[in-house]
Amino acid sequence: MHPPDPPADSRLLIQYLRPERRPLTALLGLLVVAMILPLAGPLLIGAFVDAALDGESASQLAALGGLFLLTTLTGDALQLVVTWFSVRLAWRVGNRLRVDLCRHALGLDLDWHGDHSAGQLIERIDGDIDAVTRFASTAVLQLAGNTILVAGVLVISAVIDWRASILIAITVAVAVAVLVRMRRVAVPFYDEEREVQSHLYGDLEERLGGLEDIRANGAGPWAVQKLHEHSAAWWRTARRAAARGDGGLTLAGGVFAAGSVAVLGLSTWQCRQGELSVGSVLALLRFSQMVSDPLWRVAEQLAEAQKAIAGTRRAARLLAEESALPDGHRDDLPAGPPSIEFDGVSFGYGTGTDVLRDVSFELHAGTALGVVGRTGSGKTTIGRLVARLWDTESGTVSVGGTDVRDLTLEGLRRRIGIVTQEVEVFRASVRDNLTVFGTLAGDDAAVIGALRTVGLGDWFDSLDGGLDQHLEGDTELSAGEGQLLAFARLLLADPGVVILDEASSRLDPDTEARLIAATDRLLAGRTAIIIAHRLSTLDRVDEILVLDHGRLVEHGDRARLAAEPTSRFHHLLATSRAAQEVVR
Amino acid sequence: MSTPQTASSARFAWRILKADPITWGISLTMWVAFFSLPLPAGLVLRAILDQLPDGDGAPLGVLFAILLGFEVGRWIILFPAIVQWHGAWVFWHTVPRVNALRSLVSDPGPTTGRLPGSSGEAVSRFRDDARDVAEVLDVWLDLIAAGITTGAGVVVLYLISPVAATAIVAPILLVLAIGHLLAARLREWRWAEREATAGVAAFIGDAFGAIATVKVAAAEPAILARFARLGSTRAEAARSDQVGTQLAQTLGGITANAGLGLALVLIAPAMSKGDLSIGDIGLFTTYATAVSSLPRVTARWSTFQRQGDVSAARLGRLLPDHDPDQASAATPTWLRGGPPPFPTLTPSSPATRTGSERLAALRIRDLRVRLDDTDQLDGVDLEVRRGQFVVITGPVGAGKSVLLRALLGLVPHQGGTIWWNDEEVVDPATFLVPPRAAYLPQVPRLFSESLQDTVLLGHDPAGLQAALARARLVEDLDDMPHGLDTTVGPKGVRLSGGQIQRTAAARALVRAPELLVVDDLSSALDVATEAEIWDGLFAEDAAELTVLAVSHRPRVLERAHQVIELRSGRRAV
Repeated sequence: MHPPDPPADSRLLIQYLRPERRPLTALLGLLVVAMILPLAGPLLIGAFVDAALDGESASQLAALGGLFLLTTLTGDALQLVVTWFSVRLAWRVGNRLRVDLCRHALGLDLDWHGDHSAGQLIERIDGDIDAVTRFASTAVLQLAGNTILVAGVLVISAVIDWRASILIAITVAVAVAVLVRMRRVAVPFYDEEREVQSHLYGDLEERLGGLEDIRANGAGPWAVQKLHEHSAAWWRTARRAAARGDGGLTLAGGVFAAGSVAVLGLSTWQCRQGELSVGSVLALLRFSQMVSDPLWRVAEQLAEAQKAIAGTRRAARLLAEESALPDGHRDDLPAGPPSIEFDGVSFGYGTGTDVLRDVSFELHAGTALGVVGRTGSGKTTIGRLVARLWDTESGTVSVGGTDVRDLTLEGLRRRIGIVTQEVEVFRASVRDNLTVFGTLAGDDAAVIGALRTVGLGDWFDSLDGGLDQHLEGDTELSAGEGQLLAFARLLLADPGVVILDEASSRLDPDTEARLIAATDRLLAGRTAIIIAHRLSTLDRVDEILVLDHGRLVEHGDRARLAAEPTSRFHHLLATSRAAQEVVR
Repeated sequence: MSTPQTASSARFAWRILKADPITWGISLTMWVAFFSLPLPAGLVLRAILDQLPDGDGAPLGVLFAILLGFEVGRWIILFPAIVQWHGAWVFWHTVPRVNALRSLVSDPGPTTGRLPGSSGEAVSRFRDDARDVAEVLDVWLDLIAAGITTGAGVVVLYLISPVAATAIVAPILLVLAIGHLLAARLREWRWAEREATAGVAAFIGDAFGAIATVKVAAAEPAILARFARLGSTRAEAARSDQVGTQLAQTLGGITANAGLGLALVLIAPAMSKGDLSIGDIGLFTTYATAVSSLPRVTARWSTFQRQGDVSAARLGRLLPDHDPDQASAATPTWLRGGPPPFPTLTPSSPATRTGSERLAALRIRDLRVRLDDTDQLDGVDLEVRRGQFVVITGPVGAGKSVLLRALLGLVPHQGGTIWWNDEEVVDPATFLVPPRAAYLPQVPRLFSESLQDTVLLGHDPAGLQAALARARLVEDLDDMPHGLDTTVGPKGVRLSGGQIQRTAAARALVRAPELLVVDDLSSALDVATEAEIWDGLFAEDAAELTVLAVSHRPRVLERAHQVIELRSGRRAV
């Protein structure tokens, strides 16, 4: 197997390392010194042996030993300094890449997100980049350092004996060839292993998130079975990848070992011939081992590099994903409530079945539209298309007279506020939850005011930390309170278009009634689309639109339709009233 | 921020090791061979060098052949060792994961307080903490192999020259002492880094878990800014951690050459007197390297062991009583060849259920629940008889959902009793499960698998069609090109709110429970569809199905045999 597109991932890394040229150069300089110092070691040992054979004094010998000690300690100290700088550099580069990945993933459309769980994204944005960061900090320098070391060894050993130097060079060349070849072979297998792991963690994340569903429905064994299946897949792919990746390392290790025995043999023979001193034999042996000794480090780093390459490739792939919703360019929606128009809109979430079929209607600026229809009739989709969470398959959605595809997504969505039945509370402070991490402008007074308006005043007063109180997800809030929180967000956002999609479905009738009174103020002077099962929620809308299996079957003035005995809306009202009147 | 808590990672690792000693033993044997082969090789080298510059006729060719055998042989051993080790590595991760997950999904008692807040953070427990514990088992291999090699090496050195042996051992001891002093600081750095990393993962999980909300609010820039800030905080913590770890490792690495240098200085007199041979110097150079791996490994060992102490405690916290022993208990992992086919649970038909499985009456007396220092339920009584439809209603925050969740054992109750027939329910979490009870939560979670799998979750498919019909899902399925094989996106993103709710209804119904617990079915459904579902529920086996539901819908209240209104955690009078 051959990697599909090798240059792409290295280009990505180079692109991120380019701004760090200066620190990288400085680091390399330090590294050269740190790596050259130990080269004195074998020479000093050789000199020590030759001096002993020459009958030099003990103090002379001790001085050589002391010098050996000094060079080696200095080299180690410099290595530490190199680490300090390289780790800092790596985190700068890694975090830059993480932020770019996060930005990119945030910009992708909801279809894409439907296929990629949050757990998978944790792995893509954070887990993968860990390997890349480690590569950039340690591996790059280790590889560079060891290259310097090998070059130094070759030069110095050549001064002692050119034949030995050539032998060492051949050894290094063969070993490196083996490593490079095996690296190529191994990358797809490491890819496979990472992919399996990402599935494993993605699945775990979902099961842990749905723990109550699993427990109360006795589905525990199933969740455990899935973990077993994913773990077994990991076992298989990990061993397969190791046989390729690490197999190359052991082969190269054998080559180095054989090479150093050959160097020893050659120099022993030369020594017997009187061409080399005994000290030189020992020095050459040390040198031949010096290229094999850092092998382990290079080897470890190559494993890191393989992971990093796999991670970089996935990062490059993520960055290459294009949103199905190319951003528009116009940001000139006039102030005030815009009009909304659907013209021949069909749409189906890419499943082949149309959720909306040829829907056309116009909603004038400042009017409120109630959308009714059975579950699955396409009501929610109307709101999603207005906010351009998806693009139509055919037809046009216009806001303020402009095709939404021409507007910038940010400009469009800042003008639209949606409350859905999904309750999504962030693990963050109350303030961050309301302003969505500062997206919505609003000082503390405005934030607290919004909370009180929607009826969360008592709840807010009960918090010890006020607006700074950290919310642990859904635990402090009931589903209904969570929905009220979303309403408070909407109040702060002050949008021109308001879309309420079953926005009060989790509220009891009393709370809902109070909330509706509050929303009256919200709806005034805005264009609104209200999607509801409970028709009582629609008392205040101007127009009604009825959907049936994705088709618009009725659209008109609310009062007129309600009065018209043959209209579908009239019929729905009658059914619903019959149901409501029993208790109240 | 909470204070660091630790548990013995040695004990944790030891228990995993005992679960499959053979896997670990094979790794160890090969590792010891790989580490210690340089020792005999060094003796051969010594014999060769002693033939220089003038030999005494010893067979150099034979010596070289033996040397080559030792040097190359150790790499040949390494290949199977590494492949085998990767299998072991996966095994060490898998044991605590399986134990923790199995306990979370099926052990008695509520899981509140065991899992961290976000599922992203929870995954970090299963990923990073499991890895830390595996590192401990790995470093033990190195430690034992290096220990044996160092021990044997020092003995040989001592026999040749006690002075050289002392010189080579001294830096080892010194570095071990320094490492000990560094320990506390390293631990702090490690903890801070891990917390920051979990925070980053949790934030990504939250932001992308609520991606629709983020997009609708156009909050992408704000999310990104927060992400960047969390990232730089984490980078700071990680820098200290990594440099500290490197410092410990460098100290370990220094010893080989420091010991050799010291030995050269100290043996200078003996050398100049001719008491030591050239072969001895050659042996010192190889042995100094061979025995020096001990401090490096020891540094790694103490680092990982300490990190492991934190992780063992965190893994332990996933289990009841926060007991790390349960996380490290022996358990089958089925790594080779995968798990046996899933044993589909053969459900007992409601008609044939007897004894404790069959519901006559469910009674709750004086149920009290306190969560986050607030009284959620303050003494609630309730009785549901077989075949009844009991509805709980009341304003937001009255404790309706809490009542259901406490009954099912999903949150702990601090007082009160639950009776199933005449039997007191000691642990509702394991007792009130299918076939006795099934649950349809207010915000159901579906999983990324085929629709059939996410409905069945391992249950016998026999009643599937009936359950789908009763949940009014058949029409939706007909609209899907792949029908039951349709893959549901994460959390069921590709389904509409109503479809998610009805899928979850089918999931509960296929289990044919004696008692169906429903938390506000209406919230995602229109009146007509909801009514249809209720019709479906009561149409067949009406006498067999008993339902306890939360609802506000007048139409639902009207159907109820009994309506219970809660206000502020009590029954309204």
